[in-house]
Amino acid sequence: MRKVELLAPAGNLERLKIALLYGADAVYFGGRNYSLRANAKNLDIHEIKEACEYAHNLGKKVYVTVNIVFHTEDTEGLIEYLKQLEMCKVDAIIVSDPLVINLVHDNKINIPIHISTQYSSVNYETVNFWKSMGVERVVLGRETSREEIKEIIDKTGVEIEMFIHGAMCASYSGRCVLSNYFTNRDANRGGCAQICRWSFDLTKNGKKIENTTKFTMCSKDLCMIEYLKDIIDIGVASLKVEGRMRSIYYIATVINNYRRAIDEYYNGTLTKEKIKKYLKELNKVAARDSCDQFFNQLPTTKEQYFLGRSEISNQDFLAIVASYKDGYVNVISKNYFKPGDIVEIISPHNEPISFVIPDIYDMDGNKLDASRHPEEMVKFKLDVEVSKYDMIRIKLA
Amino acid sequence: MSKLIVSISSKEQLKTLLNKKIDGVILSIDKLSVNSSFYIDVNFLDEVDFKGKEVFVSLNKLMHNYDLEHLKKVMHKLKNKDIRILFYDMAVYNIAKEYDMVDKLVIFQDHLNASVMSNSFYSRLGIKGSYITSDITKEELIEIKEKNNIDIFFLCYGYAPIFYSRRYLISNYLKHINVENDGLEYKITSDMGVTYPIVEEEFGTTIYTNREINLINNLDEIKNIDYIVMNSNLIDEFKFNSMVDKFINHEKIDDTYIGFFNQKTIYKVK
Repeated sequence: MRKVELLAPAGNLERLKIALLYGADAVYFGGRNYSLRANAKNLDIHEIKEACEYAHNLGKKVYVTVNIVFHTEDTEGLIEYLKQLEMCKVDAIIVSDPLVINLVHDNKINIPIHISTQYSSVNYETVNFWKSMGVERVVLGRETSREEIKEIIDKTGVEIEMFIHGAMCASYSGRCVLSNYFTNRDANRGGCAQICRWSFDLTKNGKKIENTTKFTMCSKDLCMIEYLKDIIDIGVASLKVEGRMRSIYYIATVINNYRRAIDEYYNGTLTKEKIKKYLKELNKVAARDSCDQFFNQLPTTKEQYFLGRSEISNQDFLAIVASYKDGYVNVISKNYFKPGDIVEIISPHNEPISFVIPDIYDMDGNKLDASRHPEEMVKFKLDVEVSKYDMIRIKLA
Repeated sequence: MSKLIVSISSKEQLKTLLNKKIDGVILSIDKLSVNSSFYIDVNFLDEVDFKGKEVFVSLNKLMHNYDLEHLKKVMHKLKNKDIRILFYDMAVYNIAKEYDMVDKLVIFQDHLNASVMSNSFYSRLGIKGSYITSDITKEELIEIKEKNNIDIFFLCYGYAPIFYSRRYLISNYLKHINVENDGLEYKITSDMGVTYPIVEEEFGTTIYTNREINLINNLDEIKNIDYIVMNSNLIDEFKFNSMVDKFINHEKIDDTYIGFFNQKTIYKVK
């Protein structure tokens, strides 16, 4: 049986390395051009080459989003870019505008094509159409239910990728240009201003509805950890995590927990208790409440937010390990911490380990009362051997 | 010279407009289309004398698996009719190919089809018409027409859908705040004071432009566009029918909203 793929977002090289280290089988990101998420740093062609080499050395894969809706002027330079991606040996491109399919075929560019969720493919005839176009994989629209996904897989034989975690569009992807009309920013070319998370007054028959809770389209996030078994059982090929602009801590935590759950599913040790524990971990880094959205039913009032834009700034991530030598760990600080704080280390390979922060020193050996400055390097004694990219966080309650 | 086609919002309006010098009508098929206030059963097409005008049917819904059986039946009935089909979802293409009726298709994907090469893709599939997004400029539109051998359709009057969700956003909100969902007309207003129509239908929720797009003063600039479309959805019938007369007579009017006709969207990725 082919093992399901865990696919992680990677807004830059650091996030890519973290995602792969923490258990992703593949990563996806945008190049500097032609990709949605224009606010993400994205990778230039040299970084894409480096990313491919790094991932391939680990036996893992790299997918590059080329998923804007092209206007004619955007197509300039596209063929050359696709050829560069081919030379970098990317494992696939993720596209929403089918013109890219023609360009790949016409120019004999050897890159597999995945159809983006941006095209909102939600039925088996459409997926069969993509198959006839030589497409290798389709990322389904997030509006599909468990039964629909299974029927699509059964009736197409195409690799199906689905989102399992992260933020949701309120609309069918690709069918929202609120940004264009509210802010002149082109939603389908990477400029989405997330108007769906704004609050509005709703008028009924010309009269404003007076209520302290304003109208919003905002949806809760997606979290499918509780349905992992069902998703794998129906034959989904790839499980995608949303969030190219998320922090390394978020990526490490989300990927690590799904990795463990997937591996335990395959070796028969995934229990309800473990799922509960993973869910708790995932909730800890979540910016919003989450739910299963369309998988089991059409979303109701419970799957929406009516509190306006309410994202939580996560202060739990304290530091990332830079090195460990002679019983001392050097860490790059991310948030304030001080001696006496009860923390834990998370790593790709071990269960979290709790400890109390001992005396902290700067790199010249001066004792500090706290680590106060993000990105400063500090060190402290630690009896447990740790590795680069392990992370220190406030201990979970 | 462009042909003028209009979408229909009631039987009475159909009767009225068929007596005007329009070139065609658009009718939305029940359960398989969205963004209309008038849906017909496919058999209705047999009951109407269209007076020699072109007939377009809209199958512009995003199709789910559960739609496909009905879609196939409807398309089978459309196969031998002298009509053209506006469609969004490539499931429609796949079925049309099976039924050997691809030449009837007009791709109509709201916001997804905005370049010369995208239209080439559909043209190479044998699709003969393309209803272009309202989010592009006049120059872009003209270039698409000039560089493709495909009939181009463009919205020249009416509200354009700018957001379509599978969720029941109005019902969910009203339920959340315990207010009865008995409204005939809903609108949302942003903090900037701009108001947008919002409509909940059987298959989800749509938000429209805050004003009707109206290119009546710009028709000469796009005279090579094959079909100019007037969309009657959400517009009072008397007002719409009067505007049809103005379009037929190429009258000029004041204070029109032309969307992105002369204005590029920003946040380009290059």
